[in-house]
Amino acid sequence: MEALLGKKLGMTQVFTDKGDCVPVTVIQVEKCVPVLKRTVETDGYEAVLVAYGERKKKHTNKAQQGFYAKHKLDPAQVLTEFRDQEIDDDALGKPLKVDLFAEGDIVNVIGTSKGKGFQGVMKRHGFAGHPASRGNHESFRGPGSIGMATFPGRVLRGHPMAGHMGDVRVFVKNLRVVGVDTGNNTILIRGAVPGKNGGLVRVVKAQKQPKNSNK
Amino acid sequence: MNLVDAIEKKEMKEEPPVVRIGDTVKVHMRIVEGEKERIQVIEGVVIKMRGSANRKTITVRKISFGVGVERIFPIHSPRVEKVDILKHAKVRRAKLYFLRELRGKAARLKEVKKAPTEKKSKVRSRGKKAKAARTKKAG
Repeated sequence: MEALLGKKLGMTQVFTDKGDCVPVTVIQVEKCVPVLKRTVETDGYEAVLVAYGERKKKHTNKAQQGFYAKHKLDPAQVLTEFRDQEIDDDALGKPLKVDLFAEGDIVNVIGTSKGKGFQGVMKRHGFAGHPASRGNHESFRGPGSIGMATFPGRVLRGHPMAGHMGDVRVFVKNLRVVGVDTGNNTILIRGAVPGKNGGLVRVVKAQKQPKNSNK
Repeated sequence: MNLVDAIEKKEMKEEPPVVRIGDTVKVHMRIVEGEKERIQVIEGVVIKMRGSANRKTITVRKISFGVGVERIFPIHSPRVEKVDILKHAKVRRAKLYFLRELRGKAARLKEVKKAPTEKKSKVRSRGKKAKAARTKKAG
């Protein structure tokens, strides 16, 4: 098992031994328990079901209560699966520790980005907008032309337009683990991670590891 | 304490240099060139401080060969060996950007011999926190 769920606490910076300043995101793993194995024989695929956090029984709906009762589990805030992870049977039910990562490991982080609301094409798609002067009026941040004339007589599918921006699943590849604190169950990851502070992120060990990795 | 604050505190120097705006300082900077390591000293006026905890930086301005040079030092960086304070000055603002426009004699600051004492933090007289403090005292 080389994956876990954690809470993004915020960003800061740390100094390396050399004196370099490294921007880091602090991720805390509060209670992240692998509870169930999905196997090819029973489910058709390999995965580990992970329960994160706690939820009161009265806040859990009947369907989920049935699931928790069937597997004799405590209701969790989030239930999620990590595909293609291996885990020993006796590790099920025990909270994951951050020491499954080591300093220098390369990880991928998946989270939900901050929602930006309904945004125009300049912010959402990086359009250039229109000149502020030279006879231009009324249209400064608009998209401009969105297609051709009688042929094809319609706007092509997938054309970038204004709309809801953010609040989508974002996958960030190849971030380095800068520090691991087993006492507080936190890890420091170099660089930024999707989502707001307090949001949940998935941290998965990347396929690509540095050559001089200690593992 | 919040965990991010705890990490920042751990990253801070035990005895960070106490620098004020307008101070003339000598910053001893450790510079690594290939294998060799040497200390470079930069002397100038602190015109700007920003950031808090381990992210705090100072901007030191000096005139080098007739050209104004500003360098930013993260004061908690291990590369900043030490900061000597040569003199304090009387200043009335937090950012001394006006020094950039001035040259020669005009660009001097009025020196004060003693370090200005830390202002006492204002005692809150209104609001929830103040009320809590009052009841704590009384009780």
